[in-house]
Amino acid sequence: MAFKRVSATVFVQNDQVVKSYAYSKFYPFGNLHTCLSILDRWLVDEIVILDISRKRSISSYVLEQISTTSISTPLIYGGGISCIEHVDQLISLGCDRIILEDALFSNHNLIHLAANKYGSQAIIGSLPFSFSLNHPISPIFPDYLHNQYSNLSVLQLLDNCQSLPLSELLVSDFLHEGSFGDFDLNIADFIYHKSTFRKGVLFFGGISAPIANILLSHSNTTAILLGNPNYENELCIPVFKSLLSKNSLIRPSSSLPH
Amino acid sequence: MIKIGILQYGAGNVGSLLHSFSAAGFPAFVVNSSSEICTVDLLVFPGVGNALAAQSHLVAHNLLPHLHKRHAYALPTVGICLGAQLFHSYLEESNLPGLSWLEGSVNRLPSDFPFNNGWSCIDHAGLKKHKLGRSLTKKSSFYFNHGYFLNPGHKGLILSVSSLLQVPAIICHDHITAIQFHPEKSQRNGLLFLRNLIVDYYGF
Repeated sequence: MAFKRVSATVFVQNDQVVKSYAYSKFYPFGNLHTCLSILDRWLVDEIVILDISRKRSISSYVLEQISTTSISTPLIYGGGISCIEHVDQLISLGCDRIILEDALFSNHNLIHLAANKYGSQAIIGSLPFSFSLNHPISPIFPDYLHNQYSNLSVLQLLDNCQSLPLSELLVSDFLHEGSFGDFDLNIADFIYHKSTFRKGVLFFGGISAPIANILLSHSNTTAILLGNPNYENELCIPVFKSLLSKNSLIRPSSSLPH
Repeated sequence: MIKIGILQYGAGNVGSLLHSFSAAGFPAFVVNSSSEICTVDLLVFPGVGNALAAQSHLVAHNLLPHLHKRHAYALPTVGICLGAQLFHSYLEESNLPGLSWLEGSVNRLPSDFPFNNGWSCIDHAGLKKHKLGRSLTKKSSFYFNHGYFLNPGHKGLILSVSSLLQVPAIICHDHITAIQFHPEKSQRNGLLFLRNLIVDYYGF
């Protein structure tokens, strides 16, 4: 058990850092090297790079930017990881943990290979799902490769994740990603009360401080991820942390505003 | 100038350590060959990995005789996370004996907290007592990322524990230092800790 984290998320698409809105609208926002350097200087708890280019490979640009940016902040990477060689590259360049999404559905062997080589503490699963007006009971999750919603059962996937060698699960409310305060708390309720998944959960997608307070009150919530707001304000995370009622569970910020 | 070598044994994290030692004012280099193991002033075992994979690498690359020779010479050696775990007599993850430089085992964390991922403060009194606390405070936190914990046979060797989970954070025995957290990923506190370790604890 460690402090719960408030982590900074950086989206990369086609070799550019982007702001993302519901994973459907993207606005370029500069280069990865600069973003990593700035977030490292701001002493965020953790940096999460998510390459959302929807490719089954890792961009050489991203690898080069990670390798040439010397940071001392914990670094997590997700996106395009489809073989153990990708994991080898990322870990050797300084990533502490990796996020696997497609592998949860189609390549459990990769999850086992990565865990056997680097330990399951280094492996995080990713499961984006949301409830919608048309699907208020059973959540939906996107099949980006086929540009449709998947037919697989989220409940079944969550149960599968419990038995896979993952240390934590990143859960994104993909319909509300990019908003501020629209995260659907039914998602947490679904995980904690309807599924058998009992490992740590990182939540992402439109999370405000009041919502974070509710999410963090559950012992299995290990991190809150913030995306777009990080890009513009050094004090985004310190201010966010100061608004959390259970902030004794959070690592104190080094630069709280006076 | 102190000669610091980062042992390359397939357990990741080498680049981050090179950067951190350099940023702390002590440039290091990668030890790729067994012949260099006994020639560096301080040898560091990095660690992001699985115990069995790491132990297999040490055997396959014939590093063990050189490492034990270094230990017999009582040369300063530091292990980080998995690197620290390898120093112990037995590792539950691989179900194999470790290097046995530290008596004790490395065991899985309890099922209610199977992983320790994130930041935690560590017992500051222990740091101060062993000259590792310069410029650090009770509120200084460090980055942990592990599913197994150090469980030394002699609890007196535990120099500091993590404040939240109460697992050993640092174990020292003569020339050996085992660190469960990642100073190379602990931002400014990690750099200060590395400086204290090199200058104040080992006296370089």
